[in-house]
Amino acid sequence: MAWLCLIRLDLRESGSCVKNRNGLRICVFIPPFSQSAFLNSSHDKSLKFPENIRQFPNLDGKQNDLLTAYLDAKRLRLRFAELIAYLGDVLKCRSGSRPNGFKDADRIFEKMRKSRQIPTDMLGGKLIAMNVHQMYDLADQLARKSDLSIVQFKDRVVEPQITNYRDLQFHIQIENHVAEIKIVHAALDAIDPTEHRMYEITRDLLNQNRLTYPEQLIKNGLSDLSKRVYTELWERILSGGDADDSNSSNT
Amino acid sequence: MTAIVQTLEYYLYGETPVMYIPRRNGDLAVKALDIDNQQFYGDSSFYVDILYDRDGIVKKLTEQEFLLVTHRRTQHAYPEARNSSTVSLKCSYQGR
Repeated sequence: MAWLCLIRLDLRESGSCVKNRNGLRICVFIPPFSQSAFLNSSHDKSLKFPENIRQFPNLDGKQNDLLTAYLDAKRLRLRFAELIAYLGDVLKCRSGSRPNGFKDADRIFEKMRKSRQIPTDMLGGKLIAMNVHQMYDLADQLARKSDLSIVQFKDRVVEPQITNYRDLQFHIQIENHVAEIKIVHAALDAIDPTEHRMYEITRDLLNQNRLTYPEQLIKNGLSDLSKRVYTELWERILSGGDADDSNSSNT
Repeated sequence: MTAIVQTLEYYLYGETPVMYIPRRNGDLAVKALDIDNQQFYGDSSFYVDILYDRDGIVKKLTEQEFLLVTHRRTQHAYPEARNSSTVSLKCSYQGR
């Protein structure tokens, strides 16, 4: 059987990255027992991404208006929450969506004002895995769901964010709206609220048009702390240490 | 440890050009392009957004890339300026 997923995994194992016909970089995890079977198979057949996957955000005149996108998010929030809960049931994992259904309006408009891009995480949900293998297993199953319109996948385990936060990020399309689904390790999910609070504190510290030298030191220090937390936690995960996921909360 | 900014640095935050202008006293001016007004304005909140890049939308630019992007952004906002060779940005960051 061609044991293909999107994916790759434990960086010390036999994962590798390939490109599909569209030039999209797909990371695959090849379990040692099936490596030869995989290499002999026509793995492109299993890729389920649409042709336009690289053209993200998949706006194309569909989601080019912030107000429309916001109202769509508001309208679709219950349906999206149900979808996340459904995925949790089907894939047999914990799941969660934003407490209020969608991202806070102030943050949406602030983000848009600054980046001049329509945020794609107004609707956000997560699937929680207990180990790295399960993360990729969930991603594989998610990608195979024919009723899900996936417009983008980012392997942020292999290419983590600046803070070393790692997850597998999908963007899906519901009607004309783009929403985010993350597959996250329970340990990272557990500390996410704390780290996000640190980010908020850092963000809210004296937002003027100029930073003093001490303010830079403080902000850099808090950012470095986030990096250190995520780096050490991930090393612990990879070394097989126990992950405390007891305090996991919603995105 | 994240280094203190000591030279001019240029970024693209989403679609917005941002630059860091270190001052001699160690302070840092953070300027972002207001496309509507074709003008840079000070907003240090970009510093944290770029520092964390939670949305993965930050790109570090060279000075030339920055000038090019800034030029394009303003042309896009004001198409009538496309054929003009005298387009200039009302940058308020001259001098340190």
